[in-house]
Amino acid sequence: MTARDVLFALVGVLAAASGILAVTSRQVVHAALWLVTALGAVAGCYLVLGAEVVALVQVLVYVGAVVVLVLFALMLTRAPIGRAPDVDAPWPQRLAAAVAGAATAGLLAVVLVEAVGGRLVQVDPERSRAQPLARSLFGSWVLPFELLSLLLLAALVAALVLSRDGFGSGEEDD
Amino acid sequence: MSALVWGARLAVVLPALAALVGGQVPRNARGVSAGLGVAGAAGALLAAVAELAATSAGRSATGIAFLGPVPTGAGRVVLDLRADQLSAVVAVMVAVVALCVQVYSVSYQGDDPRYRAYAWTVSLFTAAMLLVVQSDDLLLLLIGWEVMGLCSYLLVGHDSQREAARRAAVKAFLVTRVGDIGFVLGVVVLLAAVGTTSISTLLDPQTLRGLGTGTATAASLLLIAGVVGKSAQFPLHTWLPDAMEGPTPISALIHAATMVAAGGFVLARLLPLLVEAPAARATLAALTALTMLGSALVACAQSDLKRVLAWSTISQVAYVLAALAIAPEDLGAAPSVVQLLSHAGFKALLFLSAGALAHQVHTTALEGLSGAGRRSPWVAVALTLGLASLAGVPPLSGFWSKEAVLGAAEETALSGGPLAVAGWVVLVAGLLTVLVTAVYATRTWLLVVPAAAATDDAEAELVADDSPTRGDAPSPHEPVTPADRHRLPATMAVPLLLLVVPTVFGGLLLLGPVVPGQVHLSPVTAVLAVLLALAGATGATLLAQRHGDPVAVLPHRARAALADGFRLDVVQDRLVVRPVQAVARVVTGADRDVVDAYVRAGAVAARGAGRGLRRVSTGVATGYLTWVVVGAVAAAVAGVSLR
Amino acid sequence: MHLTGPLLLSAVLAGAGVYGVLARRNAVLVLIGVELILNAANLLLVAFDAAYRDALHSGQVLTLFVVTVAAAEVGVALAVVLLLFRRRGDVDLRGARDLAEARDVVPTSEPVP
Repeated sequence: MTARDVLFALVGVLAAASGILAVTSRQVVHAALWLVTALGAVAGCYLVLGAEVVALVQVLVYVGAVVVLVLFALMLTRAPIGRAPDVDAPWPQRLAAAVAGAATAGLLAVVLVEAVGGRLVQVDPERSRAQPLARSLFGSWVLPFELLSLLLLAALVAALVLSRDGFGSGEEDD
Repeated sequence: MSALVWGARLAVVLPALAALVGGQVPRNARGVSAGLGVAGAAGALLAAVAELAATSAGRSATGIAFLGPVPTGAGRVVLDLRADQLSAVVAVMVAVVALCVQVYSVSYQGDDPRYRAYAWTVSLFTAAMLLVVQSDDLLLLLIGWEVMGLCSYLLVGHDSQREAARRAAVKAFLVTRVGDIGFVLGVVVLLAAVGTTSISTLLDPQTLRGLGTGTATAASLLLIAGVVGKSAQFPLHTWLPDAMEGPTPISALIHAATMVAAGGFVLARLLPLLVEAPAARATLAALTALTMLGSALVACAQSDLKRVLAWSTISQVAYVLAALAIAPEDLGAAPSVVQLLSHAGFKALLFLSAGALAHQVHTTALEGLSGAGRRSPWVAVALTLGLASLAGVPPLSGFWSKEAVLGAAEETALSGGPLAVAGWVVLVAGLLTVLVTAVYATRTWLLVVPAAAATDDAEAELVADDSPTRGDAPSPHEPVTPADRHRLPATMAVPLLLLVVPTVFGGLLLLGPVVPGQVHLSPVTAVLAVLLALAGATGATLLAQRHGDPVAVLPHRARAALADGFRLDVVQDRLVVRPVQAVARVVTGADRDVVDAYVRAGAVAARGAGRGLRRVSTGVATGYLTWVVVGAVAAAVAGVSLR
Repeated sequence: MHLTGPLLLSAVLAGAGVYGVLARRNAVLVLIGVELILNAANLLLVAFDAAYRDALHSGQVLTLFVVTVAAAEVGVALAVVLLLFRRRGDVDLRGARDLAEARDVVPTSEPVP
């Protein structure tokens, strides 16, 4: 039980707890905020595992952009403030969802632990520094990188089109 | 030898062929159908006569190859024929009556739209009866037995437009079926005990000694059950009076001369087996004694000529069977066979005469036929001869045959052997029946032949009857013009003439070695019988002179009960028919609500499942996704855990 | 450190995310669930990268890619959600039943033969 284990345990518990709260909270805004905590905790996990750049990107993109988007959407869709009853699906569906979630978690846990659970992680902070990572990213992984930028462009255009006034209200011609 | 062998074979094959071919001719080729029927019967007669000639010369044959061996795992079954004196003489009788009926039917059934079916069914019936007569194997006999039952059903219900005919046919079939169950079981018992169904093997003295009284009694009782059904004895007699719904020539063939006699023939053939079972013989004696007297009493109160003849048949066939029950060893089956042949002759004559009379007035009710003596004198003569023979007037055949039976009964009664009591019972019942037979024969003659003397109470009594069959002509007739009102077609007259011969001269049968065994006539019994017959006739005439109908002296309720056959039909209905129908209802209910319910439940379940599954498609995207994820995870878990 | 920690945490986050996707009625909250699932995957990637230390840094690089894709996806998804809001006035998924069969299909009950 090294120090990293303890540290990871602490951050991990935070991440798990806030993740569960994010999906079970009846108050919409609270759910979004719990998501923030969860994503931040995951960034912390990355740090414990030595992946500093990734942790940084996580915070910048997820916490900074994605969650903000979610909050904006909540506000624009008149999210109810306070506890709302119609946020969750009826109980049969919730039960099925709980079963599905539990099953997924169980499946993953068992398979993964069974396969590689005994392994010990020797965290090497040197390899995760910006320079070696950048060399890999822009070297070996340059093609996917470029494709991703195309993807981002496509997503941007799509979002713009979808958000236009009058889109989807029956007008066929453009 | 070959005349014997081929006679036996052809006697069965020719009518069967006639039936087979007869079914194929076009429906309106009446001449061809009639020709085939007559030819089949004539061929059978020639074959039977050849057989008789050969057996009278002393020859006999068993094990005549006919249909070959049957590959069974349970004993030897070889479908062979046998030709001996007994089979030859009965075969001749069957063929003669069949031929008479076929010829007679040509004009009697002249109007029948289904004549083709009629003709070939009669041919098939003839073939089946000849098969029974000549079979050397119990299984082959059973085949002929069952085919006869089928043909009887088809022919009684021939006029299928009438519901009464259909019901009578079903009743005949079902009641005889009940007896047939016993018959089949008897054959099974014998097969199990002897190891083969060959009659020759069965009648071998060694086999019989090895059987043991228990087996012999069981088999005999079971066979007697079948005979009781087919020969319409108590308690399976209820079908015969109703079977008069069939055409009159059919009544002559089936219910006078052949089918009801088949039972007697089978027991006569198997008499050596019967001898080993005194208990069975005693039972048979009791049953037949009861039947002969009871049915004779019922015959007195009937208002339809054919019904009188039907009950009379039951009574006379009881004589045949009683003779087998108490036959002493030295006489064998002779008394029984003599009565069988004699009865065949005069009963067929009576039925065909009745048909001839009814043909002209379109009714068989006694009151309708009244005055027949003036309308058709020759037919009336035939009727008179038949009735006289029935009553046992010497020197007609009926007298001789009845004396043969009573003589045998007296011999057994006086011998003091184990069957002495049975002999006394049969003797007393037989003599009493002679008295009653004379009464109803005279009554019938008086009501039919002379023109009705119109006394007030006579008319009232004749009109108020509750016998089920009215005087409706049982078969369609050609329209009777005034010109031929008194003229009988030749095809109807010739058979009548032919049958008068054995009725009058049948006594000569006893003289020659025609019938196997001996006949013993007792003078005391003969005189007693003649006196009783005279007494009966006189009494009936006196009563008729005073009241018009002799039975009118009875109180109304008694007379009605008598006419109804002691209401035994009602008893049968309550005891058997209603419970069976109740069981049938339960079974159909079970089939519909239990077994069928499973099938219907399939449809209901499918629809219910469908309705349930439809609830899944709510339209909510996450709902669908839930199902997908659950399924995927389940598959993954299965994939991971099941190696 | 042991590898089991990250593995277990990833499983829990994935389970929670699946629950969040399937059990929510509000369309935006469904997206929160999706984010959690993506993060679970990312965590696994990083953990394995730290454990196996391959020369290509594949785990970390792929994590960056996933983050990018997730961001793009959230943008488009929220645009769709806003469209849904504009059409119906709320983002309740129970109301958006266009996937269900048409209401006018009345099931007939045929008599059983």
